This record gives sequence, structure tokens and C-alpha cells, in this order.
Amino acid sequence: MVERDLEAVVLPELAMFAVAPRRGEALRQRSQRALPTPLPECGRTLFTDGLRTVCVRPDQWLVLGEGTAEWLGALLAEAFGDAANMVDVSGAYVGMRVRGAGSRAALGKFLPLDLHPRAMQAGHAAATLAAHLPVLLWQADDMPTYELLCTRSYAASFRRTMELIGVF
Amino acid sequence: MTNRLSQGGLIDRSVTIPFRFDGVTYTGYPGDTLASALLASGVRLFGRSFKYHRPRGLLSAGSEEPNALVELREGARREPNVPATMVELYPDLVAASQNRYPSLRFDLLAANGLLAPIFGAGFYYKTFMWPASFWERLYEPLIRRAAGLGRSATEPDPDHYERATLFCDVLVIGGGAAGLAAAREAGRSGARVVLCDEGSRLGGWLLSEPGPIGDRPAAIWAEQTVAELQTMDEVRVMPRTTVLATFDHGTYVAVERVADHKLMPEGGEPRQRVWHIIARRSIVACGATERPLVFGGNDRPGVMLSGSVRTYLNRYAVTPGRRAVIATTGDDGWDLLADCVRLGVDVAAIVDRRGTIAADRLDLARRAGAQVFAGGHIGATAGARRLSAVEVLDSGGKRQRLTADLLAMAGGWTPAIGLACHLGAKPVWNEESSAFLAAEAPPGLRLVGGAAGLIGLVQALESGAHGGAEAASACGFAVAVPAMATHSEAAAPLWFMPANRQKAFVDFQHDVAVSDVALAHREGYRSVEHLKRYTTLGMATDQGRTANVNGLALMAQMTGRDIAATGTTRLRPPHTPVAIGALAGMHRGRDYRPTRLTPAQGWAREQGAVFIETGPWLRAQYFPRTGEDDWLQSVTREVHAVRSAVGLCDVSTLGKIELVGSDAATFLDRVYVNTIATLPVGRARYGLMLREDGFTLDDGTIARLQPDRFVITTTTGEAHAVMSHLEYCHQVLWPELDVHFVSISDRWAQFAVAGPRSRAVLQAVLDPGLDISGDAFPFMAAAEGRAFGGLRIRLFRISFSGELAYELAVPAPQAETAVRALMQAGAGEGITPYGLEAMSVMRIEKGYAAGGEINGQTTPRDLGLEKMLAKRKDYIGRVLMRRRALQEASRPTLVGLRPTDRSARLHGGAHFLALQAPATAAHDEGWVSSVAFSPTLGHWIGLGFLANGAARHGERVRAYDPLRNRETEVEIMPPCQFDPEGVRLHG
Repeated sequence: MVERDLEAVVLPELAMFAVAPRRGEALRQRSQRALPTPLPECGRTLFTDGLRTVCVRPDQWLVLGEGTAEWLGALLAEAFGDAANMVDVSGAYVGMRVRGAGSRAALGKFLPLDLHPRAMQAGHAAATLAAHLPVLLWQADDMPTYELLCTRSYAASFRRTMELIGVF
Repeated sequence: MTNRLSQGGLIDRSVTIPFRFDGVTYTGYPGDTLASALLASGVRLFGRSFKYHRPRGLLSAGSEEPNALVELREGARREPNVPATMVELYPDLVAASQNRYPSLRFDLLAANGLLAPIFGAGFYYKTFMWPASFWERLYEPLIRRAAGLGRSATEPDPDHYERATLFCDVLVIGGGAAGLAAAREAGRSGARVVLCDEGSRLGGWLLSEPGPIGDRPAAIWAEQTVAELQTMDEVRVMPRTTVLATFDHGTYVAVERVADHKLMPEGGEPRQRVWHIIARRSIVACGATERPLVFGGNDRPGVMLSGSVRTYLNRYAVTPGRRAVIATTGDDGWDLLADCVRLGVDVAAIVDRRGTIAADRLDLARRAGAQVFAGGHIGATAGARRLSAVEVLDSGGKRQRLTADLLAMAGGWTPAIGLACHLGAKPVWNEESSAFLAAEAPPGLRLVGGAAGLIGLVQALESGAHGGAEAASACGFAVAVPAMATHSEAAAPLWFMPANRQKAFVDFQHDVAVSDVALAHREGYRSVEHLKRYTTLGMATDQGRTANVNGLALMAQMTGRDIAATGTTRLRPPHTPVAIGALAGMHRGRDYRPTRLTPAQGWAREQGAVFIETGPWLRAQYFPRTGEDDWLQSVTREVHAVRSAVGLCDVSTLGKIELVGSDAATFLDRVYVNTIATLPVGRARYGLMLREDGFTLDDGTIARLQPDRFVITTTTGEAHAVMSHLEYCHQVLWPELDVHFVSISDRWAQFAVAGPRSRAVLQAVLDPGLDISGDAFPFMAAAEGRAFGGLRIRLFRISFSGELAYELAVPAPQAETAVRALMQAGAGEGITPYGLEAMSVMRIEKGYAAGGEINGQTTPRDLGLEKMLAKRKDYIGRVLMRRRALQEASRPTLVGLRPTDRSARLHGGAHFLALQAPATAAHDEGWVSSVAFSPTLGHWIGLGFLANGAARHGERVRAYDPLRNRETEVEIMPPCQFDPEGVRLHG
């Protein structure tokens, strides 16, 4: 039987920046003071007051928030000044939130990742190729809730895949 | 159910299950397989053999079955070559025998058996050789019809399949005594354990074992152990799941038969699910397969493996015969004799290869009323469609004919080491256990029980528990590893009983007999790999699980070597056959792979675009209008619109990468052949990237938006390759450079607005503040700004059409709104959407290189772009590009071409030949890379590569296409055939 003890919703459009330190800058330390949500270590994500920071590769962070690219760009410029190389990737991804006890089993048909609580907990993030789709994801809470992002041009295939694995 | 015992067995006699086989209705019980239910109903004949169409019955009771292969289900769900021994009985099951005509009992092709002397190994190779043209038309169809396996369904599969990933600490493969013991030990430690078993009910041999484990019957012990495992949170028990293959890094592939035991899948479940199991440690507890004995007439229905006879007796309460002869090389046959005594099955004789037999066993035989042949063997068998008599030879060679309808053979055991060998480990012959063992298992994998050559219940339980505990401990879970004692048992293997002229089969499924092995030997095919391919031994769907060792032993005997020196063929995945549909999972039909759509795809669809797949992308090829019944008409109209007014093309598929950092310009200088550092802010430049070997990787534009911020474009097809190349350059070659780059291909939609009226269209949508007049925003200008009332945009004055043109980037989510606004703003100017074809026509008119020219085999010199090469800097590909061979004048370089007869059509792929030269490869001077009908010039034009091309403009050559047998005389032109001065471009 398809597990139905889960719910899935499409995430709203997100402002998003890819942030990397300029040569020699200690961006993480700087973010502790300057951002409502500091930059996490690699493989982790943090979230406070509508601002999410994610790290899935060394020395690069993604900062996401519901709002305009201008708003987020200004916020980050103020926080980091010249210490960061930033690229605006707002709107480049579409997102989906999957939550509920059945989400692990359902997403196991899609993600080649260990979602078991011993391996992945709230605050963990990963980037992977799932069913040929580039996917960025993190576990938001212990319910568990997962948030998955996929590049926009694959949005239709991403949604179709979610239907095929019984998430939608 | 005439052959069903009145009690015992792991079946539920309170429920009767009706099913059909070859059109006849039978009944069975829950717990039965198709094989056991048919056997209970007195069916002995299950199929006809592959080559000789000999009658065949059950050999075994498991997945190694070579004979009883059936077509299961009907219509679109029909599945061929399913072992009846693996089919769980369900109500209204329908199955049919295969490889017979017109019926199983009367098979016309059984006449092949009479021709057996000429049908030996290599028959096809020797016979169907001449004439060669007959092979496809006559021989192959004929052979396929005669030597068929079953028929697969011809309609699309109505069911669906899934793939899923599973992670664990300890994977236990096989749920018999050893596997259950391993899983229990590992599970108790708290490790994450997955236990897979191919059967519907876990227990393996325990389900056929009448003896107790401690104070409980073995089957009850199995049931209770499974129940205990199921109470453990971190243990997952997976019945009906066969592990097919072992891959690197602890990856295993398994197929779970989710709904094969039902009439059809229920409630949206898949028929089968393929699991990728990633395990830190694994325990292979797949047991061992019993070997048949090789003697004349050993394939007659009624000749079965001894252990399988015990399974039918004990597990299914079915008597496979009324009067049995038991032939054994070790103790196994005596265990069967004990079962027969207990259940009241008549045994005529027991033939033991060993010369001395213990007194208690002789006692047992006496009680059974069975003759004992110590040191004897089987000579021959008799019977038409089933066994009726067995000829036994005693130790002195004296023959005796015994009436029997069941002959049980116990030839020793072949450990199931396949999964340990998939990664390349060679099986090693172990004389003591007369079997190949996996001497070198892959890292993290361990064999236990029968799979490790440890035959017997006590050893299985001990080695399993030890293996499970050790695996859990290796994963960091606290567990006491129980000590393990080692045991050994003596057996007297026997590989062939030479006796008479009857065919003695080695590989039942492929009809390979001793005579075929002998023929291979005589003709020099003595290596095991040659033996396998010449005779097809072990190449059937059962992978020779009951045949391989006997075949090797025979070859060893014939060549006078021992088995260790003879060696064995490689064991490869899959362990058992797997349906392609299961491996494909959800990726079938339109879901074969994902599709990339541009953000304005919906708009293009509304415009009636015809789409074409380019890589993962779906791109608008052209936009037909009412009245146009040919793509060329539409494309011609679109080109005219761009050249005379204005056109709009979605170019969002181009790769876009944004680079930022104080060293961004330095970085780009090193990857492009031309100088980027001198590019002013607000300007763009055409650039070429090379591979390290000097050949062109890709082309595109570089725009400098801020002193330390660039946007580069790549071609659609090479976007990934370029990104990987840049990542390599930064991460490996120059990590010290301060540059950060990110793909923005999905962040911005991009539209080309091209044609003499394009400026007017853009002026209408841009917000005040961005002056795009010719002076303020010249050719190759770039800027950020706002349009459509506040929307952030990027504008580039670049042109792929040769016209005054712009590329406008808008945020992807707003792409549809923007394109509609552009179309509205351009309505008065006659704005026309154009697709990939028109774009391609215009770039050929302009002589711009694209995929046909930048094909991984051309250098900047070949492309006529030598002038772009920077002289005073280094860049990737610079050194190897200057190899002498790449500088030869005779090397083909880019040219334009047109047909001498302007009404003639050009074709891509044709080769250039001098007018008088013969059409041979030695005179080949180059090729045609791209062609198009030019609506602007009114005739076909093309691009190509011609030896010393730049010096040959005006010359005439032949464009010769031997593949399609076409030839056109063409005139060599400069690559750019339209507006060579670029007046319109700078307009």
C-alpha cells in the first residue's frame, strides 16, 4: 500500500543567494554577529525567523528566505560587506515540503540517501542526484519534515516523480 | 491430490486453492508452490527440454530449477521461464508449460532427440554457416522456433515497478538457519539489520528439516526466531527478496517480489521493487545447492535431487513417487531414507558410492526393506514420459534392474558463493568439502553456513551466530562474539558413472550431455571458458547452478588434471534472472528520464510550437501557422520576419554561469583563449574555451557587469561539461584564486530579440534609465537594469542571427509575464516567435560555428578563429593546440559552400572530393558539417571543413555521400555568406 501518513506542499518562491568567502575571510565567524541565522558547518542547515542557511559543499553557503531578492541581497551586503562573493540565485529552484511518519519510506523511493534518524536528523542537509534530478534537501524537524529543492527547469519532472513515488 | 500425505507439512489443509495448468484445473493448499501442488496432483511432466525436446519433470524444489520452467499468468501479464518451484500458489493462478508443440504429452519436435548424434555441441556453428545471407532470414528464425524458451507478453506491462534505497549496518542474505542466527545476533546488539530471503517463508532448509533444534521442531524454531526479529525496531525482515548482485562500497541490488504471489497487484502496490541496499557489513547465508549425479538417462521425470525430495515430503507433505531408489555420495541419501521410513514411502534400494556403511545405517535399510549397494552406482534408467525402472550396478559391476518411479540423487553440495565473487574474487577449489569456496570475499562481506561450505545444521547455526555478532561488533555495536568450533565431514564425490549409451546430462536446461563435454575436449575447447561457450554449459537462465561443477569435474577427468587446475568460469550478476521492467522502475515511457523545460515553455506551447528534444531539454523547433503544411515554410517565414522586422526566440537553454571575485578576470583569462582582463565593465566579448589537448571545448559570450563580476554563457549541450571544467580548474589547478561561480541557468530566462526593429520593441518595455540607442549601447554592450515596470533584467547586445539583436534576461519566475509583454510591445512591429531551426538557418548564413563544427575534434585554427588567440598570456590548451599535426595546411578548415546548381539540395555528412578524383577514402578532403535552405539567399547553403579551405574559396568540389548514394557539385565560399561586413549587426 502507498503510505499516506504524510503530507506534501509546494514551497513558495524563495529569494536565495550563494555566498562564498573572499580570500581568507572567516565568513562563519562574521555571520555569528551579523546574521539572524549564522552560517552552519558543512552538511548542516540553520533556520531562524524566516531565514535559512544551508551548507552542502566546503566554503559555500546558500541563504534563503521568503521575500524579494533585493531584500535578501541588501541584508547580506550589510552583513558581509566585501568579505563575501555572492551570486543571486533567487527563483532558480522550486521547493517542496514533505512531512509525516510516512515520508521516510516514500522519499526512500527517490533519494539515494540514508534518512534513518541515526544518520539524518533535523538540521542536516545534503545535495544529491535522485532519479536523475539534481536535488538539494534538508531535514527541518523531527516530525520528520523534509524540504527538497530542485532546479526550476526540472520542476515538471520533479513534481511528476513525487507523484510516482506517492508523495503527491 | 493423490500424492498428498494425510498429515504433516507446512500447508494449511483447511483452505483449498484452485488453479490451472495447461488448461486443466487442479487444487492445492496455502503454503504450496505450483510445483508442489502439481506434484501432489500426480503431475510429473512439466516441460520439454531446450534442444532435444525430451520430457522433463522437477529436478529440485528451489530457484536452481532447470527443468520445470513455465509461462505464468496470461495476456499482458504473461511471464516466461518462471521456475514452478518458485511460484507461490494463489487462487486462480494460470500457468502453461513451454517449448512444446502441439502439447506437452505429444511433442512433434521430440524427433530432435532421434537426431541427437548430430545435434551435439557446436552443431549450429558447424552447420548454419553457408550461405551467410540465410542466417538472419532462415536459420535464426528456425532455430529460435525450435529451441525456444517461453513466450513473453506482447502487450505493454500493465503493472508498475519501483526502485528504492535502503541503508543498514548488517545485511543478512538468506534466511535459513545460518542467516536467522546471524540476524538474531546482530539484531540483539541494536544494529540496523536487513534480512533478505528469496522464499515467502523464512527458514530455508529448516522448513524441510524434520529434526529438532533444542526442544523445538526446526520449522517452529525458525518461526519463533523470525517473530523475535520482527519485534526488533531496527531489524527489517524481507521475504520474497532475492539479492541479485554485489557492487562496490557495500552496495547490493535485490528484487522484492511484492505482488507476484497474487492474481494482480493490489491497492497501488508495485509488482516488484528493486532495492539498492547499502550495508556496512554483510553476511552471505545463501546456503548450498545440491548437485545431481551424472549417469545415463538422468533427466527422466522422476529423477530428482535428494534434498528436494525431502523438501516435498517434509515441507509440502507430497510424495514425489511410490517406490524410490536413492543414489548418494555421502550421508544425505541416508537422511532421505530415514524420512521415507518415517513417512511410509517404499524404497527399493539405496546406492552409496562409499564402500563401507555404518551398522546403524544398514539397520535402517533393513527396516525399510531397501537393498543396499555399497560402492555401487546407477547404470541407466527406463520410462517414456516418467521413470519406470532403474538399472543399478553393484560394486562388482553386476547390473540389476529395479522397478521405481523415483530416483533421488545426492551428489554433494555446491556452496552459493556467487555474491562473494561478483567483485572479481576467484572461487578456489577445496578438496576437503569437494566444492569451490570463496577464498577472498570482498571487504565487509562474510560467508556463513552452507555458502561457506559448512554443511549441516549445527555448523550453520554456529557460523551464522558468529558471523552476525562479528558484523555487528565491526559496526561498533557491543556484542559478545560466540566462539566457533570447526567441523569436517568426509564425502566420496563421484563425477560420472560410465555405463551405457544413454545420454547423461550435465546441464539440464541447455541439454548439455557428457558427450558434448567430451566433444569439446576432443575438438580442443578444454579451457573452462571455451567449454562453457562451445557447449553453452551453464549459460541458461539457471546460470548452471546444478551443472557447472559437474561439467568442470568431467573436463578435469578428461584432461587428466584435478579440478583446482581446471578452474571455473566467473560468476557474474544477476544471481537469478530479473525482469528489465523491475530494473527500470518508474523510468519508463515519458518518465524514462526527466525533461528540462524553459520557464516560458507554457507560452511557446500556446503559440503552437513544435518541440524537439535536445539533450534533456524540450526546445521550440518552429512555430507553424495555419496554412503552413511544411516545416520549411514556417522556418522560411520566421527567418524573413527576423531579417525584415523583428523576431523573438527563447534562448534560456544556454548555460549561464556567474563568476564573482577579485581573481575572476584572471581565472577567465586562463580558461578562454582570448584576453578577458581588458574587457571593460558594461561590455561583452565572444570567447572560446579549449580542452587541455588543444581542441575546442565550447564557445560563448563573456560579459563584465562589475569589475569583479562576470556572466558567461555556454552552449546548451556543453553547459554541464563547461561547469565541470571550471570546477576542475578552480578546485584542482588554481584553488588559490579568489573566484566564486554558480550556475544561473535556472535563475534567468533569456530571450533573443533580433531584427532591424528590435530596438524599438525593447525600448517599449525598458523602464526609463537604460539608454539603448546605438551610441549608448553599441554592439557587444551589456547592462543591468529594470523593465516591465520594476522587474530586474540584464540586457546584452549580442547577436547569433547577424541582425541588430539583444538578449534580454529576466528572472525565471517572471519569464512568461515578460515574454507576453514583449510580444504585446512588438505587435506593431510584426514581432514573430522563432525557433531553433530558424536560429540555425541564420547562423549558417552568417557562418557561425555550432555543434556540427565545435564537435570536440576541431581547433580554433580549424574553425578559422586563430585571430582570437591571445599571444601574451597562457591558457588551457595553448601548448597542445600547437602540435605540428594540428598546424598542417592539409588539415580541413571551416568553409562555406553553396551548390553550383542553385536549385540543388545539400546534405550534411557528405564528403568533399576533387571534381575528377575517384570516390575513395584516399581522396577524401573533408566533410559537410551543417546545411540549411537560406530563405535570404534563395538557395541551399552549408558549412564544412575542407583541406586548406581558407585558400580555396571559389573552387568547385564534389560533395559525395556514399551512405545515401548522393552527390552534389558545390562551390567553396567564405564561411559567412550573408552581410559579411556586419552592417546589419552594428545597425
